[in-house]
Amino acid sequence: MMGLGFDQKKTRLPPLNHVSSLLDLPALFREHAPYLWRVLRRLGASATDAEDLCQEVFLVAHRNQATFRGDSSPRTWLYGIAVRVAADLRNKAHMRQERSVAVLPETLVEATQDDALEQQRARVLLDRALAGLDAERRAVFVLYEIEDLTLQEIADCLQVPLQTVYSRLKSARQEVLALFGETLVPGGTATLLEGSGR
Amino acid sequence: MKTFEEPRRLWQDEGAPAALQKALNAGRHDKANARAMAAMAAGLAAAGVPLGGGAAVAGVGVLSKVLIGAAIVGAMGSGAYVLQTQRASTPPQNEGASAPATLVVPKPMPQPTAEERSAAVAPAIHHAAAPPKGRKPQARVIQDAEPSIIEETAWLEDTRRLLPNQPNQALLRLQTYAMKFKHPLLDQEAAVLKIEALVAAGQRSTAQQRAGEFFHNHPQSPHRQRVQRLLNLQP
Repeated sequence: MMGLGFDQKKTRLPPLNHVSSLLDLPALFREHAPYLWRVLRRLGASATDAEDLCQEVFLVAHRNQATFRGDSSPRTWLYGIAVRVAADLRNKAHMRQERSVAVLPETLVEATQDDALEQQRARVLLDRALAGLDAERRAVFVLYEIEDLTLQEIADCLQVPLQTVYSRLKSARQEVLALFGETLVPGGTATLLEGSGR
Repeated sequence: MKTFEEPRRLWQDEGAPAALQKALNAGRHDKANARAMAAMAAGLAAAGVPLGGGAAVAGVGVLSKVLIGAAIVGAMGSGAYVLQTQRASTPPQNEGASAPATLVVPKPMPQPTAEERSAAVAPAIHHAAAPPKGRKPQARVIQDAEPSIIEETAWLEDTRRLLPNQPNQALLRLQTYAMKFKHPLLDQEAAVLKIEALVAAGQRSTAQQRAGEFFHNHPQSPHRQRVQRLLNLQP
């Protein structure tokens, strides 16, 4: 484990104020690890790297649980760690990138049914689209469109202003929609891209 | 103060392209399977993160347990960690039948059956294109059916194997790629493979030309650095 050489000292964590342990790590692992793995995959990690990185997330959480700030949800806190761990991976040398974009998606091994193949195909397209986004917009897009976090939760998670989250999401949507060659209903484009910031 | 209403998420917005919604839904249904969960739990246990009984490795199959065992045995060599796993109430979705289990190390590990050992080392890619013995190839079916991504991946893998000793053969094969896969999903990977084959065949100037086209066609490609390294180009 920990073959990625993750540097915890360099990984910024969400601010930790309260000295209390509100976390039930075993329960959090059971409940959130499958989805944190997914987030890490969508943020560019290979399946194997995602396992290592997911472990890193819980290792960091374990070491910082006594100072977990209870006014945000553990889920949001864990996602914040995951985004930073993924960013740390991206900052590694070229070999990491090469591993993360290997020709063979590892999960092909388990694709034996037609619908699984279709799902696999769709995920390849999704990852192709996400690869076109920079890290900041990609994180916002993934957390909002796939993980269903609210804009405020994402702002807390990434420690950026709400306005920034909104503009990153809008920009990411534009790019992803363009990549998918949108064929939207009249007025749909404007609705999708404008959102309702006011 | 400016407020922001949550835009409707694309996967549930009927105005979004169907292909995008399908892709997002596929992403939303993806998650770590039981094997990955078991491996992660074992790794965390080895690192001294207590997950307690039944925390993570619930309902895993025998193969997963063997993996856990291996990880724990490794950890035992350098320290003394004990991982106890129990069946949890909710079985993971991606695993078939779950094995009832209480795995306590250092009890002897259950040995996988021959079938399980075979499954553990089974090739990752099934070459779906190969027709069964005794059956005539069905040209019509091949013509009409969309090749699956598995076929495409397997085809590229076969081509890659030619690179070290038969780069020209790999090039010949790649010339048929566009014909064989009319709606390719791995066209970028095929393009990179072609550049690799050209370099291996000593056709460096052509490889550079293809690389230029690749950068032009795929300016955001995650393979960019790989191509640059192939040709010793500056990033």
